[in-house]
Amino acid sequence: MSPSGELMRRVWAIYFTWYRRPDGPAARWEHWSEQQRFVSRNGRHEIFRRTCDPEKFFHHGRRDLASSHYPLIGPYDSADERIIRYHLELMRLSGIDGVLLDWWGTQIEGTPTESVVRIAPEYGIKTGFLLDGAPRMSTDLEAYARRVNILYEAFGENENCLLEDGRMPVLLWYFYPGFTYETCRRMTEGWKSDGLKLLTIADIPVDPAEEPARWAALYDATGHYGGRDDSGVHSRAYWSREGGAAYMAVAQPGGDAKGVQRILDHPYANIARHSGMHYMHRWKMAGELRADGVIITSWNEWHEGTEIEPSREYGLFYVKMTRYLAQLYREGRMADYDDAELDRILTIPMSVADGLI
Amino acid sequence: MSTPLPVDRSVWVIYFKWHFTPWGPGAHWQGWTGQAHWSSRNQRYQYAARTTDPDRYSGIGRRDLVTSHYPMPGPYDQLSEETLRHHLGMIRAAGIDGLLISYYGPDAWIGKDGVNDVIVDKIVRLAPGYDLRVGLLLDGWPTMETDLKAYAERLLPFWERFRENPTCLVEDGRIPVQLWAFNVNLRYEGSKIFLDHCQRMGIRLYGITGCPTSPAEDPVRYMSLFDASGTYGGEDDCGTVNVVRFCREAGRKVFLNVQAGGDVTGGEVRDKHPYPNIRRHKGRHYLHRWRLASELGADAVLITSWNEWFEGTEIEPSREYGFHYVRMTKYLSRLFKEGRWSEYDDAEMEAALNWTPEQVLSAMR
Repeated sequence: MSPSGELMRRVWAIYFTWYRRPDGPAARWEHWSEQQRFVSRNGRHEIFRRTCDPEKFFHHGRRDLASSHYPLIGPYDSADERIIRYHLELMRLSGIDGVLLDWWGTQIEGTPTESVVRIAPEYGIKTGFLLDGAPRMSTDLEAYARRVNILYEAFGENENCLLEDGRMPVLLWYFYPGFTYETCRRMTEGWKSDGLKLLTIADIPVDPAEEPARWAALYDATGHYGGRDDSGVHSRAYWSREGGAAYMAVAQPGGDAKGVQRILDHPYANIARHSGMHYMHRWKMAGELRADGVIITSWNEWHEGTEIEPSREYGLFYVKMTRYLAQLYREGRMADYDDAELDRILTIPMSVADGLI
Repeated sequence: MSTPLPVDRSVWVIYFKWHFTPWGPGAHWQGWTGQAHWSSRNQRYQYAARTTDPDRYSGIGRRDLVTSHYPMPGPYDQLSEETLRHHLGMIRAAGIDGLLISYYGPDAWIGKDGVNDVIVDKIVRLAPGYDLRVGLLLDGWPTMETDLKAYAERLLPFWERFRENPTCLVEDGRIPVQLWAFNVNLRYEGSKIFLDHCQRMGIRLYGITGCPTSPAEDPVRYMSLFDASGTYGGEDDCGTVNVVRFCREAGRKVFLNVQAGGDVTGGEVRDKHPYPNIRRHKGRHYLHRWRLASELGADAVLITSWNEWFEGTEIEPSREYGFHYVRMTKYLSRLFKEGRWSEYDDAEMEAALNWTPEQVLSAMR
């Protein structure tokens, strides 16, 4: 079966489950309090850390969180099953078909990852994974590759983590440019020889000098995490197909990491939302380029401000937009986009608003 | 609601009633389209109009409205009782006690045929169901050249209809009216002429107006003409402190103005407009004004505004700010009314601003 058939018209959202708070199951603040971040200095990304104290309020009714925006329901605990259910229901209502669960390759048992995989089918949401990290050539490659094996051992027979032909979708973050072509080839072939049935998704170079089609041929689909470069999007779509891979478009509402870091050239955390125009533009491109799937960056990466999850700053704007755009995209009707229809969807009727204060 | 409302610890909001839509009872676009507005050139305010076409879309799911922000329920029609009930319910839920309805007279601004009074009458009829009081903001731009007798006559229809309706009365049975721009344009002499006309017509007014802040204008003498001070907006902190001092000296009440912010970039060219050029700073400006009201011992609070969408001073829910300001108002008005400002708690404010997951889902379904 062709990879594009598997991905056809599905909408995925990158989902992070690393948030903790003291009155949640984990009984501590985590991620709302601090976050390692990249900053770019002279073209080199370096790690920068800002420590926040969510016990303190630095603004009226706002805790000192490591995020630029404030979750509409307040800082939550990703391990709280009520929150997981709320997220999954909201994703369903937003027209999202699946989540790519952020995965750092540590423990599975008793984690929100396990809970999401277990609960997601109740909401009709598929589960895949984002292999997260910042791989370098200095990384222990065997251990890095092993992270995927751990996932597969846990979920390789879980129907909700498999596409129709039994493959588990995994987005491989930063394989390009973090690894060389040869390293990526060895890794993907290693998983195959281990018997892992994966649907691999990874970024590719766009410079013809780097032979993008050869890179694309390593994977089942190409897809990246985020960014603003339209030219790169066109090139990715072209080279993906040249390499026989499916093309997954990225829809990102914007990015803003000022809450936690000083940013210079951060590739995806420094993009103005322009009242939704950037997000709309990316969806339109997905339609025009006939993308085989869409990856939304992100559901809830609050540190980098790429979230579509409702916030005090943007309310339900992005989840409501997603509901409309995902429907158009899935039905192949992006050209039928209608401002009046979006207006209707974005509106909160008076009868509903009455119950919201 | 059988007796007039004492004004102490009351919270009022300025309410505008000039919005119609083609699909509502108003049957045409009004108030969302072109709007004459003030702009400042060389320190002189001039009108600048921008004509918009709400039948067209100027952005992502946004009609081309003459506003900087977009109403959460979309453009609405205030001849619709559903709209009025929705507003009154939200205003009450936010802990507000009364509305001062912008009023230019029976036939002004939004057309003839008594439409102004039709809406006012509806609001007065519905308000008791929400435990709300109703007064007027006498809107306009009176000058010494204005026929002040005719200007005072604008209040007559309201007075004659509601002089015995406790919904529209405060203190000892007077109608609350904010008199806009009186201190700027009419000063002492003009204001006295206007008030004398009201008295001769038998209108028992509870007059609220801006207090001069310069001692050179003899603010104590000026305020002795009125019952309370209450500016429309844009007051600086230093001015506010002075207003309170002068009103105390004059033995008059203080309706301290709290304003969420102001932004007229949607509708006009602006330069130094006094109130639509105030950044919200995520609610800090609004919070600061409420804090001043409590710390200076204001007798009442006057919120600018519920729905002045042209000038972007609204606290009514919008796409830009969601329910942030009505939720803030709910918490802050309670503290003010209970005289518990010192107990202001950021954690309680956070709880007031956070939505529950169930609320998010209900808004999404």
